[in-house]
Amino acid sequence: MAAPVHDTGLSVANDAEGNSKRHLPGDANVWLFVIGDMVIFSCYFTAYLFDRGHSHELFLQSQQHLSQNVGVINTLILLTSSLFVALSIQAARAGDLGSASRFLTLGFACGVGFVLIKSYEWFLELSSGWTISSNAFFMHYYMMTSLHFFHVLLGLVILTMLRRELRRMASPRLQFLQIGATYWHMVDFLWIIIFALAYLMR
Amino acid sequence: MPHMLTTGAAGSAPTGENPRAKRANVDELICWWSIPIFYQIFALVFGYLTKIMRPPIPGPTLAQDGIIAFTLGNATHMQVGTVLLGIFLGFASMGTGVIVVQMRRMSISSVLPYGYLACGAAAALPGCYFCALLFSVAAFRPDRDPHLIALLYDAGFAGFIGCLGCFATQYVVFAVAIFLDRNRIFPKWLGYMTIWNFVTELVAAPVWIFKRGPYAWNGLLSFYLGVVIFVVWIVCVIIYLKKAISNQPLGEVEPA
Amino acid sequence: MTSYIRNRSTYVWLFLSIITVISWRVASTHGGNSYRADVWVTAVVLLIAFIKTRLIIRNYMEVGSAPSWLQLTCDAWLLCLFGVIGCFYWLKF
Repeated sequence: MAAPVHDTGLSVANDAEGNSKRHLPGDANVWLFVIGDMVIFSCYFTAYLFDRGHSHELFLQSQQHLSQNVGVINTLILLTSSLFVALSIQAARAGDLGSASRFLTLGFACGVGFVLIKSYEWFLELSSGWTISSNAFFMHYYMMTSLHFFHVLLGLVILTMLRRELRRMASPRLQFLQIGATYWHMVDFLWIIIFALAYLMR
Repeated sequence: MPHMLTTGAAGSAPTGENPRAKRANVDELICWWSIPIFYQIFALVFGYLTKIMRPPIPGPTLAQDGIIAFTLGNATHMQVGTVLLGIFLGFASMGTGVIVVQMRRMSISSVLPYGYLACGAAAALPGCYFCALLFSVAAFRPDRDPHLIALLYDAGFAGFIGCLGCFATQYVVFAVAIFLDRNRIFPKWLGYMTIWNFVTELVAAPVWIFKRGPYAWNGLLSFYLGVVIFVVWIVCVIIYLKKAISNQPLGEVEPA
Repeated sequence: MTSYIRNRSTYVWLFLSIITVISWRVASTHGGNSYRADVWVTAVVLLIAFIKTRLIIRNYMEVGSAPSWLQLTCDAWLLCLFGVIGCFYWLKF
């Protein structure tokens, strides 16, 4: 099961002539899913931008009520969780299942941190009277972040399943681990885009 | 393969299988037809006759006058649609059964196919029939109090949209079954597509909050994106269901 | 576990974190100033978001060593999305 580790941890293997072979991380099905999900989210982003174009002032004013500080903390947390998940895959590939499992736990913990902070942020915003039907900006904001939040929750379930695979199986399936990791990284970069669109851009 | 008319003497059947079992898949294929037929009828009823799909502009926000015009103006179409749907609704149940039979061939606990069946049973009537039914009741007596007509109209939409929870759960069950299945009854990518379907169904949830915009009942995101993904998904399900039935070994005994 | 500190993924994380903070500082309003539209702030923010997304896709998701159809698809999606974002912002601005 343990494959020789390339020092960057990437999955480039060399064939008999020493040419680097390209290898698909995970499997084609999960990439179909990821690309499809990216396209679906792009529709939501486009709708947001379209409405933003129509009510630029309204959106600018409403954006002020979001906390950029909380947003950047959440971004950093998700980036860190992605790092841990990536390291976990590398450790698994090297056969170091103990470290792989620990990294996954750390990644999971970061994900939980995101969930808690996001929930608290929503609580603060709702308490200030900014609800989903307040105006067009908040409609988009709550819808996009809710959709993303659901993806994070699903991701946490998947990370749990990955950890279970590492701990219970004598030879964990690397492909299964990569599939789960691919999903989690998608969740990470979707948040990066949401952060830029909703919190930062003006 | 030549048609065997023998009464089952083992030596006459080339593979020694029971000739009665050979026809099992034909039964399934006959039942399979219920699904494409049902969805054609569904499209006809909801798209053309009752005009609920391609939701009436401006959606369930019609001022009372608009509701009356919509309901009474389409009266005959609606009633014909309701009759058609009433006749063919059973096909939806049969279609669910066909899918459940294939799900039981998967290497999963029977909780999942039964869950799928239960969700379908819970969702089919309110999700589909009640809407057409209530609209037709509203159109049945044109001299009814306009408030009552509006009430029936709202109740119809409530059923149509409100059942998304049952369908969403049904999709999750289906997706989980596909992912866990080691017998490869359905391809894995179909499981992922089912997740997209589920996601867009969730996004349709707040249609009761928004009266305008992309998340409203007639919105680009809540309605059109969801419908496009649903249509692609159901076409794939129909095709791969047929393949699963065709690939099912003749005489395969279903797990108890 | 500590042997993984000197690792490409960790360096990528460090870079991503730094440019995240830069993006946040560029976009933050230093109290008092009214929150105004600003093309340059938006351009920087979007550019940094593009870089971050691409880095994650190429490194963490290992698309950098994946077959070219996947690389092209991901790049195409990125360019389309950010192109649309830029167009919508520019045209309506």
